[in-house]
Amino acid sequence: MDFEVFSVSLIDNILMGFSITFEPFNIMVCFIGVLVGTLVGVLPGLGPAAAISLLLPTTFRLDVTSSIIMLAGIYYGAMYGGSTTSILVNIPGESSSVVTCLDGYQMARKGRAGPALGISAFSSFIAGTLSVVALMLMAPPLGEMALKFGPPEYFSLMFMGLTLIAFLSSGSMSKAMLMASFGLFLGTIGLDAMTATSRFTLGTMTLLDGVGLVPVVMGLFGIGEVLSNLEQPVRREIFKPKIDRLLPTVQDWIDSTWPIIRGTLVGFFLGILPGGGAVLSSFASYAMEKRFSKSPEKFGTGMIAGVAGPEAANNSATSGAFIPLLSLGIPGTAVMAIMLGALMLHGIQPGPLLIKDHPNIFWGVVTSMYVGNVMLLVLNLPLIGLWVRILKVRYSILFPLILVFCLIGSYSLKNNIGDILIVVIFGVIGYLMRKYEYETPPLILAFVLGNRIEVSLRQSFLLSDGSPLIFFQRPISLVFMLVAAFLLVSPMIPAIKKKKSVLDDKQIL
Amino acid sequence: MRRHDLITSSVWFLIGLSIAIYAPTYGLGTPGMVGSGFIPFIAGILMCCFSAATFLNAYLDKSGIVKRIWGNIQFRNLFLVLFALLIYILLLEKVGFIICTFFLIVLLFRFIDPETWLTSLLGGGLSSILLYLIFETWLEAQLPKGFFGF
Repeated sequence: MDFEVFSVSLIDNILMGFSITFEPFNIMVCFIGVLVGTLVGVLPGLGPAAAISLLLPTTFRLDVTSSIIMLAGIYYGAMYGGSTTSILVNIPGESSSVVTCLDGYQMARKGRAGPALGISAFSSFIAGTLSVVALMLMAPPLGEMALKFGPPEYFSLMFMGLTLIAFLSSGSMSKAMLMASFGLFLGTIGLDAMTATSRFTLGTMTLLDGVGLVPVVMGLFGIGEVLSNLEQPVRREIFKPKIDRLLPTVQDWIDSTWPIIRGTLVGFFLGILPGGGAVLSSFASYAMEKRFSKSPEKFGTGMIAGVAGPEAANNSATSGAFIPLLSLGIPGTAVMAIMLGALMLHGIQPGPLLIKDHPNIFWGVVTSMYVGNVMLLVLNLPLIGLWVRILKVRYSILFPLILVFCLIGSYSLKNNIGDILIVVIFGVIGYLMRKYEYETPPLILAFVLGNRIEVSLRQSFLLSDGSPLIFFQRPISLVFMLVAAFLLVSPMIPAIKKKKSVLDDKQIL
Repeated sequence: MRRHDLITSSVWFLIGLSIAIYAPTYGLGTPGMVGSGFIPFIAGILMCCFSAATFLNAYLDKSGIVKRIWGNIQFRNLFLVLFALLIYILLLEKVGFIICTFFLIVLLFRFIDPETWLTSLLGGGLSSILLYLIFETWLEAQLPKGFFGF
């Protein structure tokens, strides 16, 4: 496709996207999404994955584009909201805002809470907007390229994705791979799509359709998180900073410009990687700013670059994470896996054909992100006082509602009491996984991809008449397999092992 | 040696082994025509391999760090919540959504991190009605009505 044709079709598509986004109903769901997202970000103890899974059942009656607009709004809204608690009370609302505590809270203690909140909102807005442009430019060509993929390429890509997630996990790689294997097994429960054999159903009708995504994510993220929060009493000390001026000074802007640009780039590219996501991006950005700074020793004492960079990075990562999902149908994070589930629940098969067959979904969602980012900027700055007040809502009020929402949300899918039992079982599993440091993202991703991994493996074997060499004879598949093999053996290479353990211990701080 | 990893990896190994033993009953197929039991079998084998690796890592660990995973835990809260959820599951279809949810929320409000009786009763009443309106009226989810018919 030559450049001129590409530009014209891009402009046409953007205009189409905006026409969808600006439908009054979509504006409303976008607003609800970013509002709920900010709320989720502000409230410690409820992450975006839990919030999206909680609200998933409420989207079933919506059109698929509106549903994804709302769910995406929750995701990037949570990134904005998370910084508020980090800066004001030194409690990260989100794991991706942990780094913001370091300098943001110190700025607040020095009477600069306003500029900290201001630069956090502005850098989130700038990074969010720039990364949406990059998403728009990169996803369609990638989707076109992926049209050439056959079953072996898909299998290798998913295999590489899972190993990359395990490699980038903060803990032990063997534990992460163990969870991915368990997720793969869970994905095979129920009727075999090719032979209609029922597998591991324990003779129950509930499991005949397989283990549902919604009960699993609600259990792991919703109930599991509640149980973790209940095991120890949380007593928050709320420091009451004076917030008199939100706009950063000229010097603040000078100090923040490059961190915002670098954070946007790092966040976006790490966001694309499976397992990269917002958390890793914010840590990487902070480490980078510390390295670039002329006075790294001052980091942790209230440096504005330590707020601007990570906040830009975690917002940028959310757009980056949409690229593999929307162009390849491969989710890179747990939240994207839930998004994939949401698309599938609406009867949409995510993959390279998504952009071609359902341009309204892709362009509608992408352009809604621009609008959502503007809404967040408008919401965040004037409503800071309200968010601080919401922080005072006691967890004892919040958790019973989360629990009931999880139970009824999963029941409402099939009106099946067995699904509620699955939620509770996975809640206990999720809680134990947190206790024993087994990560949930590899499990969720393998579970969501399990069926497609199985189908592409079977199709590949059919194509090759049973020879596994097919994965190594096709160039694209070979590249994916080599990367996966390297990632699997890399923990045994001392230099890489050392670097990874440094990252895991967060010594970059 | 990390004791907790030794225990959990052993449990995962047994789960993986059970899957790997049971999966072939669905048929492993042939190389050209993979059977229904093949992927679960591979998943079970992988679980065994990675749990063995985790076990080995834990056994060879020389950091000497002992984590008190179950120290200072409010077991009462955890068991009370799980017990309440199980009772809720047992009674939901018999008693109906509104009554079950009301009692569950009141119990959780009142006995975990205690709120006053007034807050608990008001919270239970309002939230069960609100959830009923969201799921039954708006989302048409057909919540269980129980013997009272609501």
